[in-house]
Amino acid sequence: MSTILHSTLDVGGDLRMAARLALDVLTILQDTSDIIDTPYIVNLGSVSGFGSDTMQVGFAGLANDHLAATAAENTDVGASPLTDTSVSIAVVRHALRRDISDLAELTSRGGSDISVNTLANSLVTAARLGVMDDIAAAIDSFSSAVGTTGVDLSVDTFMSAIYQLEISSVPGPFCALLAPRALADLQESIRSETGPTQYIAATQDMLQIKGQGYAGSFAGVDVFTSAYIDATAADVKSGMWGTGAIGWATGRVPPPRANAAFANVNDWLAIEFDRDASAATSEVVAHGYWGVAVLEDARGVEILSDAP
Amino acid sequence: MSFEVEDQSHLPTLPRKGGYPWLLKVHKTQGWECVEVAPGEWEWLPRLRRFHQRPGVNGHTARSGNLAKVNDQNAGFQILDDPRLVARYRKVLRAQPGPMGARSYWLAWDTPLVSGRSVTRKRDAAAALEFRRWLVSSGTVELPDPVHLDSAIDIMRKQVARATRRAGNNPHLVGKLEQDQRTLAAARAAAKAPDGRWTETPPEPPKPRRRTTKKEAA
Repeated sequence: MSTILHSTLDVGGDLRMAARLALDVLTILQDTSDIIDTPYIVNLGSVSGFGSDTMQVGFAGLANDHLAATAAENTDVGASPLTDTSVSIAVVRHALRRDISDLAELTSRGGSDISVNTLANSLVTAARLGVMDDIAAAIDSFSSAVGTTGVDLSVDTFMSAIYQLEISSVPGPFCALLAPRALADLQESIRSETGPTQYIAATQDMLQIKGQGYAGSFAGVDVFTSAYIDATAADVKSGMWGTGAIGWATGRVPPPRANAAFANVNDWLAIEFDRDASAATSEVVAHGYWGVAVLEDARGVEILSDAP
Repeated sequence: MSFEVEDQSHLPTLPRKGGYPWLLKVHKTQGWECVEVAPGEWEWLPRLRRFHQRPGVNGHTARSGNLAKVNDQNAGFQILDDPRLVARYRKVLRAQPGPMGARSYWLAWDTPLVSGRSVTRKRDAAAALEFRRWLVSSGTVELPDPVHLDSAIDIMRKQVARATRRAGNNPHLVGKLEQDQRTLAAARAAAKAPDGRWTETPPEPPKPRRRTTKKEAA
């Protein structure tokens, strides 16, 4: 009587499979945190229904001129012109589409396996990361910079960034958006500090308030981390700023007239489901309308440190 | 502005989709740093920033970057967008095949090294430094008035003062402090030099020890 061996059953794949699929489909490592709901990114509202895709943010120096003593008690006082400037934010279309065939959908095992629902959920995250990517790119327009090319971020550099903002009379609170490598270097530098200097790591309560990406607080500055910070060969370009330095404007996706499945996820993002019947394929399309810009560059400072 | 696509078929496939094109920009007064370009030779050089041609960022639309340019120029930036200048620092790699046929944009002195899903940039540091020096020496970017460099020097001075207080006898900190002091001295001297360049006076060679002869001793 011959023994039934796995290797025999496996011949031709009749009774045994080459591999079974794990129940969960895990995501490839990706930084999924963003800071767009924090007060450090000013939401300037929507351009929808205002006749332009560009939002012009005006600044007036209402308190820049002060009352001055007059030469004599009856001197005729001339009118002082008002200092003003503006910054433009262009709201543009951002989109991402995933197609899935009927056969791929009907064989989906549910849960985290690839299906229309999974794709739709992932597009929401992808949209938020798109905004985050733009915020990281905008930081390179802060005119002042601290740190040295190719050198680790240190407490000294971090403090220099705070000094720079204080010199510019930027009102707090400040936030820092650091590249992961810069955060690691900062923590390493803090270890060699003595005295009352302390890094307060994010706790569960803090994360609930400030969301993912919040790394903690140091020297009174809220520290966030993002993998989307701009990097050149030698440097990463993190940043520190006070509220009012960076803003974003949005546009609402108009709902379609056709009988299509459409959902406005929020003011600036919509997920749409379409179907190509002849190709037996479902389309999941995300559209987001936004623009990000440095509003007042003196309110921020770029922090240069070495790249990973 | 369109960009020339070089034949980069010999390069490996880039695992991530490419980004948006960008140009370089420098700030006219801020973010300058004093760099030791050769042993004992220091120069004030501008830091290179990116002018992202990315719709939705800093005023860029899908059609034009004029608003973004105005935003940046109002903030004191100089966009290095002269085509001859761009040709000097830009190289375009076509990601092959690259998701969605995207391209990836690199500086001429950077080379992508692919390892699995990650891409590491390999920099020809000498070429990068040479370009920054050329920007100043050719007059493309004007050296700021020393008054503007003072703010950078002031930050360095504060760092040195702080390091002096905490260095103590720690050899690592003392070594870093000495390096920082040297950089600070060079930055001050170079800021005063009309062309922003300064060469350290080489230290005097040690005087030969005087030998006392027996006759003199007597």
